[in-house]
Amino acid sequence: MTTAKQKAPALSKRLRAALAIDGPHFGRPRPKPRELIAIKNALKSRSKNQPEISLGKLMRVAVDADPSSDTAKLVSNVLADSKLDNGVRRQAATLLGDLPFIPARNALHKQLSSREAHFEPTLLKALAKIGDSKTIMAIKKLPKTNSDVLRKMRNSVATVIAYRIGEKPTRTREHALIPRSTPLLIESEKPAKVKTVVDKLRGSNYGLKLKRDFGLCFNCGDTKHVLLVNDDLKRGQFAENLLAKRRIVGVIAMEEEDSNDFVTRYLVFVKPTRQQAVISVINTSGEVVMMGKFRRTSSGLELEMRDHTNARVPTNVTGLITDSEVHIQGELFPESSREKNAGEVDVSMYKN
Amino acid sequence: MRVSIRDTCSDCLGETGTLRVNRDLFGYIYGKIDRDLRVRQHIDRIRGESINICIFLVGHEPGFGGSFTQAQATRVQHAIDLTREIYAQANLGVRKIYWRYIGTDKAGPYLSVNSSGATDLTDAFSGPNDGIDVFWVQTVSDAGGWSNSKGPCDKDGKGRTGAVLEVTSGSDDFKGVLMAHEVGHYLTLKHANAITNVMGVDSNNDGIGELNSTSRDITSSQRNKMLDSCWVRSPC
Repeated sequence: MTTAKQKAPALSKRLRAALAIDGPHFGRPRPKPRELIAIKNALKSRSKNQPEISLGKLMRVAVDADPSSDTAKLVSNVLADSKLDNGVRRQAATLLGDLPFIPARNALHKQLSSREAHFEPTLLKALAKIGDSKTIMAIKKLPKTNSDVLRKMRNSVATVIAYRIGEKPTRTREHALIPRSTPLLIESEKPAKVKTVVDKLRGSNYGLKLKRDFGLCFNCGDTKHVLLVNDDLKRGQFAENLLAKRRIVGVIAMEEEDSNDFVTRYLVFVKPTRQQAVISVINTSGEVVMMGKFRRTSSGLELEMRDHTNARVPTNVTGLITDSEVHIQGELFPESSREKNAGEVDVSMYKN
Repeated sequence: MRVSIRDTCSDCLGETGTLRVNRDLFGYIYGKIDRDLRVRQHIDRIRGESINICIFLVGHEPGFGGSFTQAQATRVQHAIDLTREIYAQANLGVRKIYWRYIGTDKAGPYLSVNSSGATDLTDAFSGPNDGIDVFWVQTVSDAGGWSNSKGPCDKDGKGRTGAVLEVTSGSDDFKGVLMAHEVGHYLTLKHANAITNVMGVDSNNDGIGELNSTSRDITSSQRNKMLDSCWVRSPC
């Protein structure tokens, strides 16, 4: 016979070992039904009576074994308990994101409005998974932030939720998911100008004989750049030549603003493989700036190239090269620019 | 009005606590320099309209274990101080010096640059937004240094967003003139037509100004242009 006052099951020896604060790392222990009750009981008391048990591990096992509204309530209590360690509370916020139930959502909203700023990124990440229209409103009400990272995160989470629930996101917010691009105009340079550029090229051209009547120009910021093409590439045979052998296709020269002189800034390489060719753009230090492929199609060679690790502004370049013509266009994503490196501070020189 | 060193450090430079005149007021963290430092005059200059500078030692390692030597760091300080003296003619102070370095590993491609490498360097690195970036590299192969005429006010922009100078060759005074010259470009100045002017003369019209260690004058029209730059900070 059972009674209402029957003693609640305690954590089994197996679980005590697995959930101990200083216990070994574990995979995903599958608690038996009685063990799960014990885990939830321990969670209810937030393991106050069992200091050797890790609250974080308790939550993880509970969420894993029983992703329910009931578990969400228990984990929510951990998030709300300001006396607990912030690391454990942050873990609770993360786990709530795996519990698509109203108590979880409400707890995350409540914490978000509490303005404990250091929690915000974790809360937002969790809400991206389970948030609803109320979340979008809650994000709207947050005080303005100076942090670019946080601002982008808010916009992206609000947009993820809007897409999921079928609401239309604001345009600004949507740019966090689908960044705006600006066209990079790459045009044919007038033959006379190409000749001038070749003549005004200061310093090395890496031993190339450059065409004096064909080149492409574009602006990078305010600085004019001209692609000067290796004279080896014969007009009427561009596509064929590009697939023929490894070669330096040309140099990209940069204009010096005061002198209108040009100097080599990038080199363009092509390495043919079967039916296609790899194209790589490097700077004069040998760092790859862009990389892509030419693919043979019925209309010519299709070019697809994008920024590589050293480029700061994400860039896509596409184009079509036939034997007689070259059409290239680019797309820049300035809003997604990588931040510049800030350098280091020699703290040893500031010691008193 | 008497203004204390402590007040100036706090009001203009954001420095509080234990202060050292050389390090905290002048910003010379790499030891003494062989120039006559006048505290009163310096305070007056940096309390007026001024620019901030962020110096990058390219290839430095703490304790001078990298390409940069102690003597070169001292030389850079000498250059800053001479720049201060030259800009004083335009009533423009050089207020805050931010010091940054690029360690040997990351500096590899930039220890020796030409004008395109200078652009790559400034495109990859930037100091605090309220200061003009001045990168000191070991060698600039095609000039003494490079800068933009009218450097962009937004250092996140593409292109050359700072001045790049060679630390290796030339006298200490010449480096000061060179720094004043390149930062002058950044503050919108173009080449002048006198060797005695800080903006030198481009006699062969190759875009590279000729300078020597006596090129120190600033004209009144250059002064006005400099003071109109977006980099000039209000008095403090």
